[in-house]
Amino acid sequence: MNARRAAMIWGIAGSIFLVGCGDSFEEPAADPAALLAADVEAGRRIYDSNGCANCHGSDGSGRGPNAAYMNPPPRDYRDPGAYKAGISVDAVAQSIATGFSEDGAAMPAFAHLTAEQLRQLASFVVSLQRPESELVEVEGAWVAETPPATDVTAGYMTLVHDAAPPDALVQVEAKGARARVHATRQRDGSTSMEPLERLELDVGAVVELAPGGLHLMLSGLRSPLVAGDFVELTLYFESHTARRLSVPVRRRGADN
Amino acid sequence: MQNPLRFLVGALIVLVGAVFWVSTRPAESPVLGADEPAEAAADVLYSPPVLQRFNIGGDFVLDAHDGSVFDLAAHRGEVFLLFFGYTRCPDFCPATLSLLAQVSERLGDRASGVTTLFVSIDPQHDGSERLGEYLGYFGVPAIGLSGSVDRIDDVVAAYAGSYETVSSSENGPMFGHSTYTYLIDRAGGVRYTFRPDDAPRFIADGVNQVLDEAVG
Repeated sequence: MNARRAAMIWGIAGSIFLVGCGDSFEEPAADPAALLAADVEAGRRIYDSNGCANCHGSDGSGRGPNAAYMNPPPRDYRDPGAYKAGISVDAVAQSIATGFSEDGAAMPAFAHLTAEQLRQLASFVVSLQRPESELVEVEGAWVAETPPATDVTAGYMTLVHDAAPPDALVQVEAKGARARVHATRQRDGSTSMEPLERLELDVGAVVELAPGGLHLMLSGLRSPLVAGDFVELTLYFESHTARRLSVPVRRRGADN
Repeated sequence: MQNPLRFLVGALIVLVGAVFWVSTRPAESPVLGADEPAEAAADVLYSPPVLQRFNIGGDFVLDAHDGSVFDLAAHRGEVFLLFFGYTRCPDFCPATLSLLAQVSERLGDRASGVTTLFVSIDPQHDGSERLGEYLGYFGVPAIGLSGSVDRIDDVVAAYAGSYETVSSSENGPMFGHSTYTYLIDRAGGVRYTFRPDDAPRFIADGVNQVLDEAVG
């Protein structure tokens, strides 16, 4: 019995090691900024005319109209970490040419495309990537536990941007909820709330999202958030970068 | 003629410099207690609320979340903290209820002497069951109040409050609204309007003053 358990543990440990090895192969990082605008534009037309957006969505988020019926669902290609077989133009072109069918994946092979078209289409896909921002720091992020009987709560954090050039937070996505930055204005004892389309991050900016002020509204929560849970948040910046965060849920109280 | 002028200019420069030095040097800081320097520093500036008598507010009748009818006139001798909110409020309402929970903690044995009145500005959505469940979470003695939009509007107007719909989603409207918390004394009168950024200690001191007042 003990020997069997030991064998099982070694087996699991071994497979973790193998998976680890598989992920660590050297792959040239894609550089969306180095893409040719003409390739990206040509690629966008190929993306549209081949119906890619039906599954992958027009933004590569994997939320096209067909995605809801797919298992596994298409991956979010804005996240460089989500790619199965490399994030460079060449690697993406290869994936489009051969498709993926293992483990239930339903990505067909687009074998009718020429090498040039594949390269253009891959350039467009790479242009959708939003690598991690190295310039915006996120500190002390937390999300308030939802009181019972409500599908709404708020998230708080401090955004620090002390490097040039200026940037702006232009979109926030949360797994399992709609997310929107709200400005709360206190005026004559009344609070009015307005959604912000963009939150400026000037050089040297320290922007605090805190109770009673600027906050991230999370609404339409599919299930209540309980202290100890984590919420997956992605902040998208104007600089075509993102911060992907796993934010702890806490109960409101004296400590926050 | 030149010398006295030069002297005056020189004196002026010295004077301006001296005023600048005096006004910008750091104020002498009081000796702080070793254990709680923050609290001690706050003590220097702290003063409890000075209660007043406002000519806003007054009696009203609304539906309580437990199914009963709440008539403020029938509650003479009791102390209340009233504010306007709604359960789908992302920030201010839960933050205020959390603040009032901290006030409750500070009040200790006297916490049961004050009841929070949460008047819903979203009566279509905030049914009695929802209000009860929501308020129960925060650990403050609280009554959720609701009613027809007209009756709610009357109470909001009487307390010089306001609210407006700022956006709508498929799950319901979002509101902007008044953020005062009204301290109501044993005679049913408004004695203070607390702001969302008031400290728990400040609010508790106001409540204690009202609780100290004689009944009747």
